[in-house]
Amino acid sequence: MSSLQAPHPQASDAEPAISTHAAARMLGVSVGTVLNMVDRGQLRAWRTAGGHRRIARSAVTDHLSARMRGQAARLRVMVVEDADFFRVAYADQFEAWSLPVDLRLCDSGVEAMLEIGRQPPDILFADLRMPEIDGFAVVRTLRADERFAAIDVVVITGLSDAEIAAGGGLPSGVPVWHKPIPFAQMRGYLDARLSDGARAIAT
Amino acid sequence: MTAMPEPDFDGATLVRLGEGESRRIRRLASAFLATTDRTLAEIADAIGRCDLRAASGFGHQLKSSARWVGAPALGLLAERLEHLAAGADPEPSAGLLAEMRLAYERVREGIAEVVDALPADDGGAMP
Repeated sequence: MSSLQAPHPQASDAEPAISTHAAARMLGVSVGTVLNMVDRGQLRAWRTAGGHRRIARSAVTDHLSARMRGQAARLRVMVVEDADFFRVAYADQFEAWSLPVDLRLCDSGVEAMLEIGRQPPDILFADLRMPEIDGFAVVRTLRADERFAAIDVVVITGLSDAEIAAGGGLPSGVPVWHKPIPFAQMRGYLDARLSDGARAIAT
Repeated sequence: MTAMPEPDFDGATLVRLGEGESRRIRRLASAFLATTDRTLAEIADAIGRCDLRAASGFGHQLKSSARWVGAPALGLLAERLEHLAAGADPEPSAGLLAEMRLAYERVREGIAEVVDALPADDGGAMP
């Protein structure tokens, strides 16, 4: 069943309409895809008295907005961890959770800083003891730079509190979780952030 | 009164980590064994080069992962290496590495027992 309505001059009078080609350009898809979307009822459309197909502009903008909301609802999570085994464990656990999360795993502080510069995550889970640029340096750098103030930083480490203090400590307000990786705590944290994100979108 | 020695391996910990799913348990076990093989070789190399700072770093990595999969005795030895390697003499570190290799063999056997007992319906065999 097609959602394409019969000639309906009133509709075109009542609301702004665009051509199929214009809708395809706005949505960044092919004309064929737009026609499929019309057939599936995802875009409101009709024909003019002259037989031209018209698509409600508001239907296209609504679809674009929904797409953006869907993207915004995904959390960008970065884990920096130099131990191969723990990276496998993180990947495995995140896959099992099936949350709307885009996970990036970095094996060094250098890689993490490069990736953060390219696209900052929403949350960074950082190990501390790593070769070269360690987690202390990563966390201090992020917390000293206003551009990265929006990133939530959580440290996950095998170091004791005394060892962290001996390493120069961490900026105030940075939570420290101790290994073994507290996955239950991490899940609760992610759920809370996802819930916050959903509320922000809804309002 | 002496403290109880740390157990070599607690299979229930590994099973719990994989949330009881054979595929995940196998994957974690395989990753742990592969990583530990490599880490022990890196520790030996670092001690051979008298790079005790590097040996300490590898000990730190192994400490956490061993404890996490249920190998506290190996984790304790790795922690001792982490702190011992902060000194200047490589000799005690070499002795500790030998102990770690023995402990690791027992862990490997324990992991093999756990994996062999898993149902084979949802994943391949451990390499």
